[in-house]
Amino acid sequence: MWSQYDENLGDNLFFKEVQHSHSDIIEKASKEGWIICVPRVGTLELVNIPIKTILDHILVPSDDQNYCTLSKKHVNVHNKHITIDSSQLFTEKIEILFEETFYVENNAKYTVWCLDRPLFLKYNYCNSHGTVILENLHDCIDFLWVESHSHGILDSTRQLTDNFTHDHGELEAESLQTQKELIGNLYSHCLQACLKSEVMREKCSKSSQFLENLKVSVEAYMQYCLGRKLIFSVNTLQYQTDACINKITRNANDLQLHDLGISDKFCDVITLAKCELNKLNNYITVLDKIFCFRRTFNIIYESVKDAYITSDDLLQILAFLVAKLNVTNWAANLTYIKEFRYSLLDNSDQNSFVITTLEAALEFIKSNQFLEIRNKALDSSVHLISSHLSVQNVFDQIKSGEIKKFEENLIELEQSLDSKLCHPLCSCEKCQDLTENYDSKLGFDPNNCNEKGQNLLIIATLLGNCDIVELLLEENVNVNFSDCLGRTALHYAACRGHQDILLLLINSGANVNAIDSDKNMPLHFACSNGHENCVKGLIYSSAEVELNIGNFFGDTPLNLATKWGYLDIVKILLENGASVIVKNKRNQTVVHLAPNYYILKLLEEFAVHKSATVSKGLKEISDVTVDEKNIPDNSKEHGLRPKNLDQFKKIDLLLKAIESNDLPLACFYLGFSCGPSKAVETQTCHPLCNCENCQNDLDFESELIRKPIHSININTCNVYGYTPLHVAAKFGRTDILRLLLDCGALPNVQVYKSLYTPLHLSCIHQRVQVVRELVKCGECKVDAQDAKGNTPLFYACLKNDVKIVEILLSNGADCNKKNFVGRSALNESEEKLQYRVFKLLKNSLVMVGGMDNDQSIMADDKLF
Amino acid sequence: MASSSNTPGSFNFKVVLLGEGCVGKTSLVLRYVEDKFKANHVTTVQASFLNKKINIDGTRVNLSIWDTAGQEKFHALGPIYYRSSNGAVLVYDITDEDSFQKVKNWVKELRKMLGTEICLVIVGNKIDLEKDRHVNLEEAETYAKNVGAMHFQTSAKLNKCVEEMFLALSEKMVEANKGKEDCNTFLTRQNSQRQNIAVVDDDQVTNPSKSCCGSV
Repeated sequence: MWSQYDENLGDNLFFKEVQHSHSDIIEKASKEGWIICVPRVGTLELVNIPIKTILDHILVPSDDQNYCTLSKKHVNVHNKHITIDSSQLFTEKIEILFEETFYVENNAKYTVWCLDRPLFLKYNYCNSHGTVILENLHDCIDFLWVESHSHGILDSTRQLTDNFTHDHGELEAESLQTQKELIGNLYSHCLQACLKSEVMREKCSKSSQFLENLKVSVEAYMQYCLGRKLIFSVNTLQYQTDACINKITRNANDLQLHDLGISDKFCDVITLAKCELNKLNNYITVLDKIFCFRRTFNIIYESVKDAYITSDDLLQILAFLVAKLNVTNWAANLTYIKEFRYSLLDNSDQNSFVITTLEAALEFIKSNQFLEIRNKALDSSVHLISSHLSVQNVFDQIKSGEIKKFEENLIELEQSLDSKLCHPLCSCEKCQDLTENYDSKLGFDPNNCNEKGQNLLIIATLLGNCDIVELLLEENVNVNFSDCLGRTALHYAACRGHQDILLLLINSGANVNAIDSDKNMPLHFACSNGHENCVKGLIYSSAEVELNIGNFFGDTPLNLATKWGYLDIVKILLENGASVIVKNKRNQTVVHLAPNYYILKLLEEFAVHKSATVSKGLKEISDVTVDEKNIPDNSKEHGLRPKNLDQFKKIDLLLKAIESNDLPLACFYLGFSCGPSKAVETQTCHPLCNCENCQNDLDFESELIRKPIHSININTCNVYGYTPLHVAAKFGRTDILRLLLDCGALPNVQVYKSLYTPLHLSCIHQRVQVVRELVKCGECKVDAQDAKGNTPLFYACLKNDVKIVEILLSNGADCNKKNFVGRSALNESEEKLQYRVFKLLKNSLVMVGGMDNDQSIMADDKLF
Repeated sequence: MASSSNTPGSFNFKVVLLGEGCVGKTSLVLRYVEDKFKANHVTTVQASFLNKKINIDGTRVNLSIWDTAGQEKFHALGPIYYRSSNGAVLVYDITDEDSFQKVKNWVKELRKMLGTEICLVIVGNKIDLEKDRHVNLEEAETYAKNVGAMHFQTSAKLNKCVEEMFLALSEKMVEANKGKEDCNTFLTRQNSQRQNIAVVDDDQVTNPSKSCCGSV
């Protein structure tokens, strides 16, 4: 790779001399393939260049690596360096900075090499700083210091940035555009301050390269002075993208090189590259960050011999690095590098290629292709190796989710065994063998593990197969079985984000605070992998869950969620009492780890007002009780009030679960075991059947009745008086509604204020199925009146819903029942000219025979 | 820090290389940039980003040649690589009809995303395998003419026409950009870049839903 150095050779004194006074050499060079070497500007400042020196700089190729100058001296060229023949008293290497090909008339061309310094002139060249390439902050500070012969520039820049920091305390609250403008202004102020110095002005006017370097170094030093403030505010701008990328990468932790199609030859180099790139956030300036990337790339380039590194290779390796590294703000880094570069603006140079590759890698990680690769890798990472082939089959069946076949196999085996035995209790040698074989074939021994020590339950959890987990739990597999890493199925459910399995496991008595060999609890995994649903599942399902335990590194779940930037999880943890003052082993509290403004604010709020919020929460409850006093307190008409703050929270969550049609979660909050839907839907063969299936159903039902103590009553209502049944009716969650009714939910409860019953809500929201279910239920009052005296039928007519009206009427709804302003459903439909509804209502009146309203008959005549 | 290029009469051009997997685009660019050095100077070669400085009658041209990720799974990332490029080299293998079809797709995509701002050159590589030719030369030339691209036939192996092709592309890019303001000031450059990005992003949003991802 060429050095970044560049100069316009047209302005180079040496080259001008060659072009003007020695055109014969150039002509010859284009014919013979000679190479003209040109020392870079400023290294050879002789007024008259002697012909000998020029001849020294014309190379004639002799063979492979050897060249001969026109002055008959030998030089070697290797790896972009010219080595002067060692027969001389000294050997030296001179870098070839770049090559430029000159095309002249008649398709002729010649090549020029720009050299770091003149050839064969050891003592006679001067070195000016104006051409130094600045690669990192250190170079920049050196440059500013040396060139100005004082620390004046450094001081003035520091002063300006300090003022800026003071004036813009909340930079992170600004938009990207504003931030860019503000920092851009600061930059030009700093630059102007530099140019106040006479010495600097003079040097700048002499060399444009010097001006460029000055710009670069002032920018770098300014960014250094701004410190973490700037990157923090960029983090804030990008926090959502970063949280999203982090969630993807955390969950891709098992990714292997070959999953991304990276060749094995890169295996070693990736470790080196990882070390290098992991330092990314130690650097503050854009220049250093780019330099860090370039070094990483160079490590990759230099790793392979005799092969080409293509863009595909680079992209794959970078994507892999991004997925594996401990850097939490990739998107912010990208934005920072792209947007806060003021002095390096070439969008075609190597730096921008590096940045583009990073951008492409991030884009790739966010894409569906990466998701597919990841999922495939996750599945294949579950090793299904075992000594028994039959066990393998079971594993395979579990893997492909063929639950039916699996069950069939069990039965089949059992039957075949029975038929083979001499008699059911025989214990002869042959039969003994058979029974042993049978056991191993079944493979149902919980001690059957793969080489990672994972049993069937853990494997099924890893694969996210809820049905199998349920099946296994029914077979009394040890829920708390842990693998080689000390992780239980619950760890893996939390890690992979399988909320359904997680709840199932907890309900089967899994230890929510189990720790693995790194002292991680399931909550740690759920937090660092960003699975909000699992965090909720863990916290709300069990009172025992510990929030403030540190893992091996002393990091609490709150620390992890903060570090990876999951705002919502941080919120949940804080609301449930996670402590903000626990220190990890690096002596950092969670406030130190906060990557962006939003999380920091949240943490600070909780640190200060924690006690206040708790008391406020309690106050809310007392407010509610006051409210209720205004409403006639009739426990039969309304739902039960929650008894404490915990229940308040729970009922809200339950209602939310119902609203989002999450049956398993709803069941969980109600304290039912998973699968009541099955219990409700499946029919027993005959009322007294004793077969296995029916027995299972009975078991379910008995479980339904036997509710755990910590679950909430089915008729509990929230602050507005909504019970689960109300919500299920309102949102048309028929399955849940049926379950609620079966489990004893009162169908006639009313919400506060509007006094709606579930039937009202279902009519208002036109949930036909729900209406059907509700009226089926014997105790349901079809003509219940709400606060305005309206019946469900009235609302159905308002909505002009023929089906619901039909159902209500067939269940004896009274279409003449008047509300408190004296209007009935019949009036309403008549006025709105709803032909079909009106007809239905009339028909019902005829059938009942209570047609005593003259007005309506007249209306009828008028209408039809 | 190639900043002296801001001076008039000198250009920085970004050229992207596009083409199917084994059409030889890597060898093509390596032949062009590293030819003299391949055997003796360079121990390791990276083919993803290469730089070449040329000087055409006093006009300095600094070519940054970007290889693009060619695998199918990276297809959607194309725009990130080719945005704000001045030229594109679209390579097909004359023995492979499919690779020519791919070139046609690229042309469509580039024209859609970058309009006529970009100079295109379509390159039929591997003419050393003339006997296995599957892409009709006339057809390719007519197609190139119709879409306003140059057409070249090269052989990276025999070093035929490679340099000429890049030289012609450079000349065309110089011509296309000469009319524009030579001294790009700080702000206008940034703004034009910003616009470019915005346009590409907009298209990118609509595009994948239509074809890129849908077909995968």
